Amino acid sequence: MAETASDALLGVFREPDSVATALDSLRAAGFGGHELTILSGVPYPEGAFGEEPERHRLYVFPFMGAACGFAVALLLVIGTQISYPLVTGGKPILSIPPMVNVMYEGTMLGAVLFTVICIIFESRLPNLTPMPYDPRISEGYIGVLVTRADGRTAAAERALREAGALDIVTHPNAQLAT
Amino acid sequence: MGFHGSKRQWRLQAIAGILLSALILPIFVSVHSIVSWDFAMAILPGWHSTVFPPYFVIGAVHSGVSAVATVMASLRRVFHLEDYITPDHFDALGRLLVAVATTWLFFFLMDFYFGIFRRDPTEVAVWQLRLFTPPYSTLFPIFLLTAYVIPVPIWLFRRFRRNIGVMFWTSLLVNVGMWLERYILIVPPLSFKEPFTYLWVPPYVPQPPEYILTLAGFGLVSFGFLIFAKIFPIIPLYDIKEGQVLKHEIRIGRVRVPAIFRE
Repeated sequence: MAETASDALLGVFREPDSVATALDSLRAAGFGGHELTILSGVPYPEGAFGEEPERHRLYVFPFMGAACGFAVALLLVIGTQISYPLVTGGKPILSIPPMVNVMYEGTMLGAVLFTVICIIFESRLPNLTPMPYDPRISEGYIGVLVTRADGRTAAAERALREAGALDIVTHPNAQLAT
Repeated sequence: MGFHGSKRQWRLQAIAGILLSALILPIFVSVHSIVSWDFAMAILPGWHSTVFPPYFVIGAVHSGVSAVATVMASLRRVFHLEDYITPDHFDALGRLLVAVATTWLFFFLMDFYFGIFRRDPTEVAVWQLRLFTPPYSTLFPIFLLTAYVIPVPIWLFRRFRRNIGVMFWTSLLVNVGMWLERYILIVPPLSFKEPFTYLWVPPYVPQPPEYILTLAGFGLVSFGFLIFAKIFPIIPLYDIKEGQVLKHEIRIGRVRVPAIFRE
């Protein structure tokens, strides 16, 4: 089931240590790693909050893109040369050295395009579901977003507050009020 | 788009930066060497040289890094980015430019040396055209002075590398010099089209449409820079914030990391 704003709540913290404590408490309360998201204005090192490593497929996409780019470039150079077979200087119509250039560029272009698409795709963007957010996060505070907390909201809020959350935000548009 | 700075998004963004940089580098090399092969394959005296691909690539790096320094200094002044673009950045660029410019000079000298070493009359004649015939004989020393002789000795001194004004004017000089380099590289061999000297075409004189097109080219690139600077944030602020977070702390949360740790 896709998460919605109504069953999500956000704890706002000042210190990374408190966030790590909050994650431990939330796990003890029965929340899984996929239900907990840490929001920050800067990238923190992997494992700083005791969170589970993120799995992604970013390294696979450039290879897929390179393969697609190579195939398209190959079709392009062969197709255009066979469509307009102009013999120049007695050379073969399909001559490998000039084809290599286009195939190389096509391969690299495919790899770059697929990488960019993968970044958007793997970052789960565009994300149009309104979620609780606090503008202080972009100023250095750290947020712990608990999703799919329906029925366990009280437990989640208690865990966040005990870990030292400065505020609990539940409404997606709370940022407008602060 | 819904970017809210989750751990996953930050991690992907950091990896993507490294990945795209690694991918774009061979594209950069291939693009510039393909352009140079177009020249080298022309079998035209002055262009027909195997040293052209690395010569063009390093020339593009030389003028490109210099242009970065020029634009950085300009944007720093116009947008008051003194807190973000510091003398340290210009110092680092200056060091890089010394290495790049000297590598470029090596390939330039190789092009010259191989041109005259084999004593091919047409090749030698093209170099004579470049070195001793006006207006190229005037442009040639200007090009060499502005592309290497003046800026590089200045960049050897730390106090000049950290001086934004000096870096702005020296990097601008390099851009002038590198533009002249391409002009001298392209125009004189085209002026030498016939096998006999009495059949040489008259010296090339740019016409008003060419001046206009050249100025329009400069204008278009400047316009593109300004539009980009207006629409997009030219300084990624998270980099600055990350630097502030990691500057004084070795221990973050439950892991101990170097102060300059990055994914």
